[in-house]
Amino acid sequence: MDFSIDEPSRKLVNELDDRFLRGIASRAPVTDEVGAIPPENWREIAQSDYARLFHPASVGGLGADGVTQAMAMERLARACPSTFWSATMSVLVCAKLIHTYGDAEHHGRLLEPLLRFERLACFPVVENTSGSDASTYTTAVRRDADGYVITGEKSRITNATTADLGVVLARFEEHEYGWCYAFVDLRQDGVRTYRMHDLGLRGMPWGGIVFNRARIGVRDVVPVRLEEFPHGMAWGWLFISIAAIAIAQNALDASIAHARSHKAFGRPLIHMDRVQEAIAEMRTQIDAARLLAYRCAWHRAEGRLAQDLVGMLKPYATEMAVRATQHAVQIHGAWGLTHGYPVERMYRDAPMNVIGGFASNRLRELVAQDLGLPTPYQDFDWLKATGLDVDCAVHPGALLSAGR
Amino acid sequence: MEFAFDEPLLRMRELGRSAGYRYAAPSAQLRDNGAIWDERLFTSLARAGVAHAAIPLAYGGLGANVLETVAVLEGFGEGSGDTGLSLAVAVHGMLCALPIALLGTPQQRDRYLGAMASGTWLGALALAELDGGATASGHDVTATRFLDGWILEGEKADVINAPNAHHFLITARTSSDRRTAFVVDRDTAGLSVAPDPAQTAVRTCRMSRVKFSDCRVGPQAVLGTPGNAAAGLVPLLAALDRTCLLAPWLGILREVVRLGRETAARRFVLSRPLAHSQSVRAALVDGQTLVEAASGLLYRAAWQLDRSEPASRRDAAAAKLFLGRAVRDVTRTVAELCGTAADGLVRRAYRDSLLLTASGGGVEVLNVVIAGPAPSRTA
Repeated sequence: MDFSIDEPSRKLVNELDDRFLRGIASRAPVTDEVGAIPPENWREIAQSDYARLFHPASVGGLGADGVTQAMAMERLARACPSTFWSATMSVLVCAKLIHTYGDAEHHGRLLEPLLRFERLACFPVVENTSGSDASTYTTAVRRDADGYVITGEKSRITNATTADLGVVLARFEEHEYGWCYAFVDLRQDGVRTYRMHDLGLRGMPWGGIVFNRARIGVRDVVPVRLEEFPHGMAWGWLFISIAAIAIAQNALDASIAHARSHKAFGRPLIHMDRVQEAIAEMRTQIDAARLLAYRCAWHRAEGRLAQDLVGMLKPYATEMAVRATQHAVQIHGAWGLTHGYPVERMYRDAPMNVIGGFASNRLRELVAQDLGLPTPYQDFDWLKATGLDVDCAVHPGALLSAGR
Repeated sequence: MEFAFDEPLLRMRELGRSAGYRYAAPSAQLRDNGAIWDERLFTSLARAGVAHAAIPLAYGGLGANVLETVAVLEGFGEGSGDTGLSLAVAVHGMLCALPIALLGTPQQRDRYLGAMASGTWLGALALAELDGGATASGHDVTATRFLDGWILEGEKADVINAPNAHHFLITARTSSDRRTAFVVDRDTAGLSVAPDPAQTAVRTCRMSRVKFSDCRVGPQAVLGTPGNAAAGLVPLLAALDRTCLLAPWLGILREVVRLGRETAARRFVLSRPLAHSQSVRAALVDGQTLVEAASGLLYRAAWQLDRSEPASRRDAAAAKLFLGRAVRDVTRTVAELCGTAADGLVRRAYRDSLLLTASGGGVEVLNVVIAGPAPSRTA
């Protein structure tokens, strides 16, 4: 066990930090305001090593260790969580899916433009009927005269309106696995997208995608077992957890700065015990979540699934960040709820991570299963025959009124 | 960074776990019922390496570093399920022995460490020494100069291991703002031990009130530099409190969550196992999550103590704040799952969690340490 950070990775992360703080962070308020990521952001990330950190040298990456990847992610997320979500969904989650499930020779053409940020990818899974219950999904890939077509609607998708490429989870009846990842070119006639407006992370392009017999190349449909799905998705849970940790850290820093400079009742706010308690709690829980995130990233980059650990991380980290932003609002008073102030944005951004990419409670069920507590469901009349479903009709009040 | 338990570290945790399981667990409830200190059990733990893991090899200990010691103690907590005995063992082998090893003179080291490693001499320490006097009452011990030595006056409450101890590690006020550390043998004239017959928590760790009345000690009883306890001993004890005393609780919490899972599968409410309730499953997942998250904070704090640069008091305090809360919340949740059937470890852990969260000055001290220095009122 070793908690030290080696010099090269510290240097690399600091360089990213400098770069992101100068540009992307300063544009974060505008990104939120107009609901779109400025083109300069993409240029600045493309000039950095960000995308290549996550991938092995064999596909053109730098093969950074897991903890360095996690630290780099936190830097971008602290600068602008909307940009972070959009970029990382593409260059981490989608790129991993492409080089894990695709073949290097044929799908290299898809990967390289993503790593250069010339193109953007999305990972459409969820549909209108349900967020995480795959049995309700209807989007399907079917054979056509000269290849495959996909039909169906995916909704609440990151990068839906800006992505060039979709790594789509779809039904694939012709194969024994029943499911596939389809690498779909989204710039074609059979694809229509629409924007959805969300509470937070407003800069992130969120929306729906309608496939109407959109064409897919024969080699761009990869059969996959549904049980495999968490392997790819766990990268998403990890990056979303890191987004939460970054927002919590920003909330903490803002709170400390405000509590040190702002005076009330003749003393700086930080001299108030309740403020110190909030700061101590935030700092402690952020540290706990961050160390757990590092541990998950380390296992993942060493090639282990670590599904239970990542499944525990996401509910903890994302709900922790919501509490942290609540503390920050309490410390900032009404400024924390005033449009245009950073804490107000954090307060809206934080809950997105709790629900995005599987809600907390869904993940808890997944972990429970790993811990040997499976999820049964039976139609059940909870209180029948116990007598606890009956209002008390024999009561002292009746006795009393009869006597009068 | 590297998050694996490597082979040596796994061996240490297993050493603690198997010793706890073999020697302590079978009699834990019995000793708790009667508030019993079992001398032979303690000697077995010394022989197995649990009680002396951190004592240097030259004195017959295992010479483990803090990281390894924490692994031993985590294992011991899990294997023994004995909150009190874990406390007694860690106070003896780590909080009493390490200050002597690190701050003591060669004579002090030679005199105490060998007999402490073998388990022949038991070391004692007042619970209040963990908070640097933050909770000290007006009766706290004072030391005044007498010839080349000192006269000790006053009393210490809740002295861990006192009824059976050979010697006591104490701090005493030597001037209005200075404290000095001493190691005082039990047979010193003027020192008396009054057992607490009504000890309610950590009952397998015996505690007493210790009185010093015209208790004269020579200069050889001073540990470190006179007047220097606040710079030497107190930060060391605080660091060991937040690592070595915390470690068994991580193991205990792991075991409590495991018992919670077992209970949820076995206990029926409304004609179905508790585990069929989504809320119960979520609570157990959250309990396991807190165990994993606390483990990162604890092992980081331990790892920092093995390095040459100063260990962050803030990081260690965060470990204690986090695990203290986790123990409080999770033992309560699991006790509720067990309902009226709560017994054994779950009941003891729930009861004793208060001592963990209250020791070292409690959250009042931890909050201030973690929130960090504030600018002065006029700044």
